Amino acid sequence: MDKHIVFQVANSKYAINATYIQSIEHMQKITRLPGAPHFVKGVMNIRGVILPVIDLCAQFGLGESQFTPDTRIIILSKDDISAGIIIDSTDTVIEIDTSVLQPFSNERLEDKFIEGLALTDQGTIVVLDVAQILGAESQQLDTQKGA
Amino acid sequence: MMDNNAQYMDLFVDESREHISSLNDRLLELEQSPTDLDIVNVIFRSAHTLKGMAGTMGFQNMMHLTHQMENGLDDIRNHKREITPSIIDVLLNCVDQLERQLDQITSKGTDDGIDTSATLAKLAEAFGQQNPGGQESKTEPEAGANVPTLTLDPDTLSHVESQGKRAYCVRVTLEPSCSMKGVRAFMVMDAIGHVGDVLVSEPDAQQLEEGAFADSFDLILVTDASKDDVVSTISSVSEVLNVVAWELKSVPPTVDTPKSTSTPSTESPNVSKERTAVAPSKKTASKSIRVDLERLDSLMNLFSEFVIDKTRLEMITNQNKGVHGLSETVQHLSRVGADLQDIVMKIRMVPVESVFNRFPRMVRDLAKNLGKQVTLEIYGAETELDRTLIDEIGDPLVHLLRNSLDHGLETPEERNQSGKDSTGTVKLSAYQAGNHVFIEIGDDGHGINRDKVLKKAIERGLVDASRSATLTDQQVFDFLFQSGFSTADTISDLSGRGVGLDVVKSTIVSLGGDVSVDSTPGQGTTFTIQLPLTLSILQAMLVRLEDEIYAVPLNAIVQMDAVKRADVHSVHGNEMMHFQDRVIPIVYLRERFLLPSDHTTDLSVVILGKGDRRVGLAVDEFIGQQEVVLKSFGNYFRTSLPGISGGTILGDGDVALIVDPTAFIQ
Repeated sequence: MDKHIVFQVANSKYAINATYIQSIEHMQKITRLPGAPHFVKGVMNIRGVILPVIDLCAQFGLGESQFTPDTRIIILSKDDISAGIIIDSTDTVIEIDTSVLQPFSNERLEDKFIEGLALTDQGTIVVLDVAQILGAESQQLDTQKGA
Repeated sequence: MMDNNAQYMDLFVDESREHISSLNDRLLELEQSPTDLDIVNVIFRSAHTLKGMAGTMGFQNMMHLTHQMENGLDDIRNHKREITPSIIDVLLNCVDQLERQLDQITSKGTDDGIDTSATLAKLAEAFGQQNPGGQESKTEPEAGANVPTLTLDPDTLSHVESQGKRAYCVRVTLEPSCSMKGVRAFMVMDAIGHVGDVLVSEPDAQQLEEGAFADSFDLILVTDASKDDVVSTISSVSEVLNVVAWELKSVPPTVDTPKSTSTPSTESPNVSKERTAVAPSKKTASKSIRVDLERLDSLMNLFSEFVIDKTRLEMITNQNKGVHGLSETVQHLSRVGADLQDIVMKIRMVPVESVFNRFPRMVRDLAKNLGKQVTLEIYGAETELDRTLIDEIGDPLVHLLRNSLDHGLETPEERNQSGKDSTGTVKLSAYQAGNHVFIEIGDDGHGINRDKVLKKAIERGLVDASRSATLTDQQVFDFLFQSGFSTADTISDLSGRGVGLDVVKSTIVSLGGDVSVDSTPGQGTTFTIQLPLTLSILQAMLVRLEDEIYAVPLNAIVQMDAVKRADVHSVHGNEMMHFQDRVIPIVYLRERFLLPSDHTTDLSVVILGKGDRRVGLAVDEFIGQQEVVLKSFGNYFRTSLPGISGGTILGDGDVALIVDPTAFIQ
């Protein structure tokens, strides 16, 4: 059982393993990064460190995030790669047994970000694959080069 | 024991690396002068030290390999065998294996898993019958008799005595079995540090820490403590065999050997010989300490925070001119900050030698593989660069050197035919000029064939055939740095696959530097790398686009101009402006950074310069000059974004992007 943080993006519930979460931040000024992929909103100053900020909504192909007072930035970090993701609101913390996740596959490209589905008493929660989210930028470059 | 291992691991790895590097260098020297037994002795001692250290740390494989090397070297020392090229090859091969073992130890904590059997077999073959008992080597005879070798000059001595302190000459002898001598010496110095001050030591502190001494070392100690206290303090360090202390007095009553005259003769002849033999590469013995790199990095980070706050404070001061004493205090803080920055930067500077020292070996091996004869000349290895740059320039340099050997230099036959010495020369030189460090890699080969490069460039559509004749050599050679560009007729193992020079270029550019190439047919080719002295803190001009602020590095700015729309000319569809009797292109930063631009208003133009090229960069407004701290965006982006070299945090906490000027000057 691993501790996961549950949050909302575009009215769906997602969860991320707490091991990879460095902190949860309030929204603050994002500096636009010309030339970055469309889902990278820009960069942000997180206590003296400049980190890219990813719009999860855009990355999942669900349009752009609308910022509200509940909007938060979750700082993810895995294998020396760090970035923030924009989420609509945080929900709760639950224990999820990742060994019994229900596979989720559909034809959409964005599904690679999903590790599997957790069926909990709070409903179905999509567990995200942090490595895929943090690696999306380089993969996008690959597909561009391949095209 | 495990604790000890963890504690000494870093020291072990550091010291081993130094010994391995020294083995490489000495073996190459020995190859040039195979009869020089002094070099053999140095090599022998390095191998011996490595063996001892590996043994202490429990790395059996490494110990075994060095032991076998030592046995072979012993035969040479004792004139039982002569140095042959194949012996050098085998020994170099051993050193490679040692390096691999050490890498394995660094990454996995064990030297298992590196197969040395082939190397050991070759070693046995090269040296013939091995002495199975592995005759234990004798350490060098101890220097000096039982008299102090160090003295103080009378003035210092009387000064010490006037303070009510006493000076001792102390000889510390370590157990012969002690293998981490450097560590022990360090512990001894540390222990002494609690009772008094060490004025001099023989050998000096650096060599002591490196373990570059026989079993004993001498030092002069000034202390309040009694002789017995001193002796017992030092004796408490483990593996210390014996401690002798002599008190030094203004009129030395007991010391009347020729060595201790009032002018301090700090070295007896055999000690000095030992010293030059053990550490020949240390030209100056400086007072230095080893510092953990992480601490240096965090010092740098903290200092960056300081600079940001200082800038913020300067801003606040400008807005609150009335506060008494504020502006003076902030001015003083700024000055202290500038001095502090100087020191922090200097601490981070490392001689390029640490990169260069692996090249002689590499060039030798490459030349052998390629069937070429090459002399590598190295100049300016003492030139210093920021540590972060040192870490990054290794690969590009390896690439350029390979390039010179593979493509630049001809085979001995070709060289003879064109009337050159059959041995080619590759010069690697580093020097500092202004705020930049230059590294040149030059060969005396056949040079770059301009026509061949042009033909290829036209084939690949990089340039129009009709324009080709007007291009300068410089412009033609620049095509070599385009990705996928190679002029090699045959694809060799080393290079010629068209990957390389473009990677070299992008690496150097990402470091804020540049690389260029110059070539004369028949006489050779020189690549020049230009690097900034430091990476992290730079002077920048802040400019505004819409509501965004960008920082343009000041060293790329030639001038800033307000240009009237009427002075903007359209030439062949491009907007141009006059600058110092020239017509230069205008680039709209708005367009490059994907903002709408207005081509009817007057312009604020930053004139960027690189070499003799100039470009006018149009921005909305100049804000002012400021010191900024360059920060990367971490590892999320695999390649850099065009036109942006990083970000910086402004006084108000916002992030401003730093413009990469080289992206706009083509």
